[in-house]
Amino acid sequence: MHFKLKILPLTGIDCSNDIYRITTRTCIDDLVDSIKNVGLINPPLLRKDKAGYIIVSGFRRLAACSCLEWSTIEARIIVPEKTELDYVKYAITDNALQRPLNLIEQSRALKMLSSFFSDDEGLVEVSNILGLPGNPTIIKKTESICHLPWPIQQGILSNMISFSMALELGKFARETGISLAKLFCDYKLSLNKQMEVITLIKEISAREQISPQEIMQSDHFQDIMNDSDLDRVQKAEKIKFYLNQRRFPEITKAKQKLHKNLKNLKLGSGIKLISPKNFEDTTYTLQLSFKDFDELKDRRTKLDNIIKNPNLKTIMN
Amino acid sequence: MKNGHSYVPISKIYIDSHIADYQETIAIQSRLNVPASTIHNIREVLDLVLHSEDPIQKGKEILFITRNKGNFIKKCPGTRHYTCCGYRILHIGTFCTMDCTYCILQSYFHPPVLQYFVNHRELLTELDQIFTQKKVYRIGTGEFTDSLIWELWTNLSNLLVPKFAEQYHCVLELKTKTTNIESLKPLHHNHKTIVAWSLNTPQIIDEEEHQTMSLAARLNAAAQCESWGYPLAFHFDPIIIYDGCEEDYRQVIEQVFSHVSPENIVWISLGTFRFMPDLKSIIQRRFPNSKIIYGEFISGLDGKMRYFKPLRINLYRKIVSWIKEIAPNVLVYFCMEDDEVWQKSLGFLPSERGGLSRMLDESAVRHCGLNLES
Repeated sequence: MHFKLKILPLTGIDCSNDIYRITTRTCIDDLVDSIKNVGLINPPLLRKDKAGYIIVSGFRRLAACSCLEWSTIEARIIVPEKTELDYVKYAITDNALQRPLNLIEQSRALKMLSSFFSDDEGLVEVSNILGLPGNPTIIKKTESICHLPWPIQQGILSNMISFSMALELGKFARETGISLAKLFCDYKLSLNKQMEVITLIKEISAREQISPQEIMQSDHFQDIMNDSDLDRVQKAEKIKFYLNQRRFPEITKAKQKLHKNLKNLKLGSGIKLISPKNFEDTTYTLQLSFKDFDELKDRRTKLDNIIKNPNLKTIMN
Repeated sequence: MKNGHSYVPISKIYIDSHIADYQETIAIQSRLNVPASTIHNIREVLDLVLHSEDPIQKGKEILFITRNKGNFIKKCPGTRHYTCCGYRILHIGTFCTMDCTYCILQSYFHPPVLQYFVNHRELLTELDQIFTQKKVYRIGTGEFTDSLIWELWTNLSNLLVPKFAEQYHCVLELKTKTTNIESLKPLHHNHKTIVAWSLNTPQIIDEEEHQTMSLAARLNAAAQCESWGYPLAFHFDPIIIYDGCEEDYRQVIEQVFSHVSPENIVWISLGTFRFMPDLKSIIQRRFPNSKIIYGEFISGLDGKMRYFKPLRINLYRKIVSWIKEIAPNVLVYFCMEDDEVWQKSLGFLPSERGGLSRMLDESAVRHCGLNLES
């Protein structure tokens, strides 16, 4: 790549043109401080355009200089004029050499590249050279990420939404995907819980033949979301419970009934009654723990009372 | 298609070179009249199926004629947690030309391929060996395939039915969702072949049992077989829970007994829908409109997904009562259920009556004229 250094007025650079923007970072405070203290070490990379200059790499540097109210800036101008693909490669390389690209940046890079290739082979080759994913399936999936609604992409950037979850969210209608992404980020759900919520919503949707959005818009769901007395953890738990209850009504009822009967047994400390898993087996487990002989005798008395308690029979029937 | 003979059409036959010159192989080729290739390695067929877009569909569209290198008679793969009926499987081939949403064969074979075994000499030798044991065996061909799909291209019933007719210890059960019974008419069966139908409600047949025959057609075929003297059996398996299913199953039961006489029914089995977890994603992919996997399932003791037990018991109780109301003496049993389900649904445990195997053996003795002394 050949370029010449040139001092340009900031007004001659079209900073609003985003076609080569790879970076997802918008905060420039650190860069403003750095440039203020030591100056601009690495001039941005520009290309000539009909109306002036557009940025190939260095969006944040230009924003920082603009923030410092510089009137001119030293820039590297690519000469002679190159192909569009070359400019894209420069943009990707200049970003990728500074730091590992995050998922959205990789996606943006692949989106730019993919428009130049009609076959997988060529794209895979260039992608590999530029340090981007080299597997055609991964390339397709990664590229699709930057087409997702912005709240989902924000979830990825904040590490609240994983790559696989983002792809899942992308399968929903736009509004539903956004609502779910917001729910996952606002309530800080772990990946397992996100998967659980998505599976429940999908299955309720299939079972009741209504859209996922209708489930999320239901009064009960909205009441939980809008309940100002609940914190995010409580809201997440209530939402999961509501969905489980709707997906598995009889199983939930049985669990609630068991819980109530266990409470009525008044087991106290040191005694635990474990019901058969999924109510499928018929074997109950009783756990007794004690520290000394007196405690053991105490447990035995309690156990005798439990055996006489009619709630035990109800549980076992 | 619910009227007339129906199946996924076979587009090509692959023939194992070892059995290419068998008479049965040649006969199938001439009856099917589709392109055929002889192959030397089964891998060729498996790869073809595996690398297709929908291996399960592809596995139904080709027929691989080959030999069974293992045993023809196998024990039914029951599990220790649930009561198994002690059935024996006669392994005549694999997979099916019909396409039921819930079919476990979709995930049982890797990949599933429609195979038919033609080394019948070995099959008959194994049957002779089991007949000489002078023990009651209930043997069926409808576990790894449908028993009667093969009637369109083979002489299988002509081979098996007379073979069972000449002995007094074992019964053959032909289990089907087809109405391919014409070839059974002239056969000497000596009551040693039970013709059995898998039954479901019209809604389930229509929505989930693709390419099978309608309920009415199945029951008419059963009545026809009864008129030819064959003992009958019915299998309500899988029973599927949906809104309105109870009334639908009640009506199916009424229809059964309006077509055939209870005296000629050797047994009726009941089994609610259960599946290995792997099947769920297959159903989601192949039958995206099916709702059957969204019931209230739990993971059972054998790792299979089963309806929550109280739901199973509730429906079993009702179905049993409707059957017993019309046919109090017909033997009703559960396929792969535990003692609690037996006790709460039928009011007794199999062990109180000598075990499930014995109950079924005794019914076979009564209906099929088995004679343990000869």
